Amino acid sequence: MQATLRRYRLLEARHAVGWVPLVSLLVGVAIVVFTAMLIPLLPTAVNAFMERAFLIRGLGAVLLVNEYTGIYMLAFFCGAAGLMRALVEPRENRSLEMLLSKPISRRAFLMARVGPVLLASTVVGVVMSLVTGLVVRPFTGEGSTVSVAGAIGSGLIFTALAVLLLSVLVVPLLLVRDAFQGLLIAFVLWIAPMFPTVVLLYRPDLYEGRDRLRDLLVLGPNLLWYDASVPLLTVIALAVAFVGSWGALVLGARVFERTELR
Amino acid sequence: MKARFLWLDVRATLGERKTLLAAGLMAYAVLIMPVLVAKPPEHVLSALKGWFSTSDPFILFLFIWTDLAMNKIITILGVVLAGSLLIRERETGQLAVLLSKPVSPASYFLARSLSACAVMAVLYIGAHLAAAPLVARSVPGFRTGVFFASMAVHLFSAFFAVCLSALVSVLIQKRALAGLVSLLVLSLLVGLAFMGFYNPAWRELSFFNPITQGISVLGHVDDLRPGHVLAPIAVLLGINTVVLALGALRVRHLEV
Amino acid sequence: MHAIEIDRLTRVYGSVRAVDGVSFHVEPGEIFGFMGHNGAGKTTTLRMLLGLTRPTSGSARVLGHDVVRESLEVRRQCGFLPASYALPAHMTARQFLHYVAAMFDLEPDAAEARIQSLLRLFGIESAADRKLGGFSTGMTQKVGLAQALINEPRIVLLDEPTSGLDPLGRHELLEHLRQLSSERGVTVLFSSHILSDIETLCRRVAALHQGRLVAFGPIETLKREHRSANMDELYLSLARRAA
Repeated sequence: MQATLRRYRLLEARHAVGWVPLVSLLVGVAIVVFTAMLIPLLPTAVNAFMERAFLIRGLGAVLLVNEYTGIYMLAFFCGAAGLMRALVEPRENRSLEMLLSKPISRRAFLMARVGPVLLASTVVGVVMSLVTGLVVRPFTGEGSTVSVAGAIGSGLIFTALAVLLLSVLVVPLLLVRDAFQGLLIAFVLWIAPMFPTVVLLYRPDLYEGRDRLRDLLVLGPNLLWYDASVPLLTVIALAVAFVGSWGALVLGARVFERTELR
Repeated sequence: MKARFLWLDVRATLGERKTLLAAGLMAYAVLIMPVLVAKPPEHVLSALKGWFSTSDPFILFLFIWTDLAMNKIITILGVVLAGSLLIRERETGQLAVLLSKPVSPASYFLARSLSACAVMAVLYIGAHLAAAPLVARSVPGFRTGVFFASMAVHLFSAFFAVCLSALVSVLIQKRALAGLVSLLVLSLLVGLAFMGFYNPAWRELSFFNPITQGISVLGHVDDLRPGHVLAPIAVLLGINTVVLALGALRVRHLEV
Repeated sequence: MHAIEIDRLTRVYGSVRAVDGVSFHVEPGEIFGFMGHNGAGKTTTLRMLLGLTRPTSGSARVLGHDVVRESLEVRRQCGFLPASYALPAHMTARQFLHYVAAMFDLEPDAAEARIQSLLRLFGIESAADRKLGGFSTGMTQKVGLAQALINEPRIVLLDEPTSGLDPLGRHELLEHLRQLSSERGVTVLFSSHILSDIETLCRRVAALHQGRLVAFGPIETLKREHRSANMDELYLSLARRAA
């Protein structure tokens, strides 16, 4: 019987697709286009600084470094808001007990609620990545360090990272009673992978003699350094994100099954 | 009575787990700062000289502290402290209880917003007081006066983050969406905050960005005068008052 | 076979024994009163019966199913109305009932027919397509009851169902429960601290005091044993003896 519940899953998906993903998608596309218009208008010295700081070359690369942050942010926080609505709010407003008294396992309940949220985040990230591919086109060509495939692939890698982190976020969200405590945890989780890039900006000396570590950790610029390998890296990242997300959700289901309703 | 209500609300919020988490975030920013500013690369120093017209190494610290740490933290804290104002109370049925007392929805909104501002102030000033002695030892040319002057102005940007989140909360009245919208708007303002420094031609346009007002002391590190502190504070006070007034207007006829 | 069978059920939270070695049984088709003061352990017991909370020790069976190992099967055959709950404000009553019906895998047509009959039963047809956020306490409680009955349950567990209802709403609810029991053979576990409701509705009761079972049996027998003229006297006598 648990194998079916098709209609229930559809209803959960329909409730998940509300204003949050729609607003995220529209704002996300607007941000990609706005960034593409803004960066070329910045003084040459500013863009030259970013090239120097992030070890990249060309206006296209400067543009992409900024676009990736936008994709990562929108895909992640769209999902974080959705997860808080799906998981924390029912606990806060006392509707969880009634829902869990129905013949549906906690695992099925969790998956039905979390799945559409992750899917919506993925759609936001994918659409933003495709638009990034479009806006970066004028900066590609002979002598350029960036490519459309690299831009889209890198956008997808950031989307995959956002979805993976959202899956990890499920576990703490199942334990907190305040949605905004959850938001703070989400913020910490989101910003942590950006620290190595900040270190490159202000303390590049810490990476001296540690090129491999730098290439691995400095998210964003590293994808531009290896633009030609991005298609392969995208496939690997998607596979890792898929397996990692699945693992995190299985762990989340276990935690949920053991969580007491009090 | 109102002052006591405010005080009790502040005290209750200070005891919440999310406030402790926020304090942890602030503490991390304080501890990481000496590491980040210890050995700045030459291209960063020369870029900062171009933007802020000073080669004082202290500017590097102030820039990183304000842009990387405080701007990001006030963005998230504004939403965390005020992003569900009145929505949560309404969902959990508390609002009916609270509004049954001799307090109007508008004054309740204002009291809760001011309480959130007070909590923000405690966390924010606390972080600066903790950072000052720690950074003074590791940053050459650390100037306590400029640091706290910058803090005083930027604190009102932090209040703006709270007030805006409170306004968006009562405008949208859907918690997840309100939180997301506040976060996006504040992130956009933070992202554009330094545009006036990067490109002097955009300085006038930046005037309307409350976060830019909050960082304006960075442009006067070498010639700081009282006006450089008081003027942006006055502007931010005005903006925050308008934002709160809009919120109070919105909830004036709120029905439970 | 008993409809509900509880054997030395215990739940401990830290140093607090919320439910302490409780044993009783409920017969099929009866309306069974479950009484006790606030915090006596009634809600925790109901949660354990649905598998929402794990017992620390002891066991319970509902319609022959173990509440820990077969909680899904228990929930499939039960209806539950919590003491304190909120309905999703953004949904209409009909949407919410369809949502709950989908959790039982009911076909949309069958669900709609069932929902229609429940809306009629509780007299809320005209409000079916209004958002739940605007519902009064009584209307909310009716939707709460409708969701508990959506699966035509064989057992209904009701936690303080009359609190918040006006006298008319309370009377209607008690009538509905009598009908469910007499016409459809539904077993009702009626948990309440409103003793007059229990006296009106139930023949047999179990009483909890500070997590312990202090009485179990027919109300009239208990009254005789404790020389009590009414339920209030009976309960006070039980509580004093337990203290």
